[in-house]
Amino acid sequence: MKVWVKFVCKDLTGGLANGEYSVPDGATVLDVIRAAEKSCGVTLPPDRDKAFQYILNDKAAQGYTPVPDGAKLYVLHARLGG
Amino acid sequence: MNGYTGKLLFVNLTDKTCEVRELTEDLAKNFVGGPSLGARILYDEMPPNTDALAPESLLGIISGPTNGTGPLMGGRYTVVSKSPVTGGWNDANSGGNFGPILRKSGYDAVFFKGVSETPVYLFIDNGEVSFRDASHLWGKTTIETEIAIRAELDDPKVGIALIGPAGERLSNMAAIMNDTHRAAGRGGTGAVMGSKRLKALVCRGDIKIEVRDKAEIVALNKETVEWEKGPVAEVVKIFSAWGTGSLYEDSTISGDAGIKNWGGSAKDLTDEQKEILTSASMDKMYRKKKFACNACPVGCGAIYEIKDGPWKLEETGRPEYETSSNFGSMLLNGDPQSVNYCNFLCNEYGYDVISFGSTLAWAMECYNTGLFTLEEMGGIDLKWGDRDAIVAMSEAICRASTEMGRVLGGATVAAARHYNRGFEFLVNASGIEIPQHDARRAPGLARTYQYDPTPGRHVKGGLGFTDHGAEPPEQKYSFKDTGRRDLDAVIDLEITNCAGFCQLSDFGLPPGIKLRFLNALTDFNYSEEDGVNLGLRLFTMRHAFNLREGMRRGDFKISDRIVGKPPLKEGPLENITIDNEQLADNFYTELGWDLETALPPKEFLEKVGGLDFVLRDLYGA
Ligand code: SF4
Repeated sequence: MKVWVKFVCKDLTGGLANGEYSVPDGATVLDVIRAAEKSCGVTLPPDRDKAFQYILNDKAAQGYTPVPDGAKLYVLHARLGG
Repeated sequence: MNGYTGKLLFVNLTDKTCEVRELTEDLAKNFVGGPSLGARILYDEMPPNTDALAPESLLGIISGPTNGTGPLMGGRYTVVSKSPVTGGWNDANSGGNFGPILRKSGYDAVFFKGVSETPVYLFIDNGEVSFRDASHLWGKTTIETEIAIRAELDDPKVGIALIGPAGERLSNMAAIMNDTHRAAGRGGTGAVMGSKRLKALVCRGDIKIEVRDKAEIVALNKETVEWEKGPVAEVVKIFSAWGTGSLYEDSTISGDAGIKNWGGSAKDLTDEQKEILTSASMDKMYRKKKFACNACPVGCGAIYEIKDGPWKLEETGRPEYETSSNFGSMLLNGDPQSVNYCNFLCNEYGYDVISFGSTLAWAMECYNTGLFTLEEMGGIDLKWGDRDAIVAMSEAICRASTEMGRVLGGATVAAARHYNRGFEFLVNASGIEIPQHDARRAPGLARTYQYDPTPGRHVKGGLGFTDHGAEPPEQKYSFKDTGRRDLDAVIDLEITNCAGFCQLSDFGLPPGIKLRFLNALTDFNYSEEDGVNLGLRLFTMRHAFNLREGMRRGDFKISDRIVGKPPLKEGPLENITIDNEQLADNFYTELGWDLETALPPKEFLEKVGGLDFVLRDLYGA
């Protein structure tokens, strides 16, 4: 299935590209990030996902949240403020 | 006394007299500086239930011991008074260079009472005080005034804290400004200054403040620099490059930012609108140079130049996150030029951007739901997202050029009362508009906004908008077990604010270093346990001012909308309702305070110490 992703926290994602990624049925939000890493040839530091928060189809999601086909995922900085 | 000038200046503007008093060791040790030192002084010096704008009302401009003494991120000063908006305690702080200059001029704090017959400014020159006529400056904008005073004193470097026309008009959203675009903005500070016909406090000096251990301060600064290269390097990098506005897009997508006067959701804005107002996007178009407050290695500010378009600006401070959100998402506006221009107008006229943008949002909702006619709007068709109308109404407010502009200049609550309309669209805490972090996303903010002694602030302690908002829903919406974490955060931020550190020191300084800085500056040798009691005392001191005014728990209100009553129907905050009273119960239970009244018991006051006068007033002891 396909998931559209925008990496809003670009400074934390080492050049992961916005766009559509293919993931298997039953994939989670974190699986989508891994798919993006693979596709872009980027390896994020371990625990990097702790610096992320996710909005999936306009709802707050966690790394373990399953992703439906055609979903829209935003990867944001976990730390907000100012 | 190490760490302080040891002098407080009391100014009576009615008879133009000054009195220098000693800052005693007890006062400094127990209340440090900034807001709580201010609350301690006003508790004694200001009769209970004084009107905030009455001659007997006091305005304090107060440094912290870190100002001008070397600690990194320690450049913030505080303005204190009773708030004409909430009717209770008020403090607001600001960065730039003013705090350190105030101290070098010879005083830790200046307190004003009385009313000058004609406009004046106070000039402190290496301890010498003079009253200067400001009649020719009355009516001038902050920028015009700064230029005029610097020319008059033939000194481009004097520190100036001043009001613009907003303060002169006693607007509830009038700020005290310094360094052209820094603001101690909230709670009507500028109105209190305006009520005294005090246009500015101007300082200059090179008085040296002794510290206990200079080498230790250097070592702690080195530790800070290493820390900023280590675990927090990426956060520092973001704030250093793009400032608080770097996270605007994240905030609008996640539900952190207010959208459509807190009634909308991320769906109301396009992806382009969310992205264009981040400072990374705006920097590409407008950035001229960087700006940092005194002694700050993060340097989260920048100066913009807007060369093209309808609102050209030669130099203007980069909008902070609060500004972009208040003039952006709150109004469904995705136009960076208008946001920059409105930011400039607020700085120039001396308005608090948070209350100003929120007031526009309130007026927009009223107008777009038919509560106001086009004629009442002064012909300004204030449709959601209409950048020209947003600018036109902002100008009308700043210039007080239309009836609606004049009324909106009093902020939302006064405007609703004036027209007897739109009460259902008010979003505030005890009357003051809410900053741009949604309590429905980070529920702990509901406790802070409603029950901090200075209500409606995101710069007060508690479970704030940082990591708490990103917690899993089952955790953050359980409203359980929040008391300890909430109180720990309060204790830490009380010390931050009173010492004069910037709030971004939550990541910019290593954990636990603030007390060590205080120990290097002063002779107080606070232990860790002292630090806990200190934080509790500082918080209780501000609260005690409100208690003395007769305020109890039930007097602190928050608007239903910001706690999801009723909940939003779509977006990341869909169906979220916050149990704000449970959060407050958790907090007061942790403190051991009375849940119904928020009165601290005798035992608490005795244990924390240094609050004998509160004990006496509450319990006759
Ligand atoms: S982080 Fe920003 S606001 Fe804070 S002291 Fe530094 S420059 Fe000023």
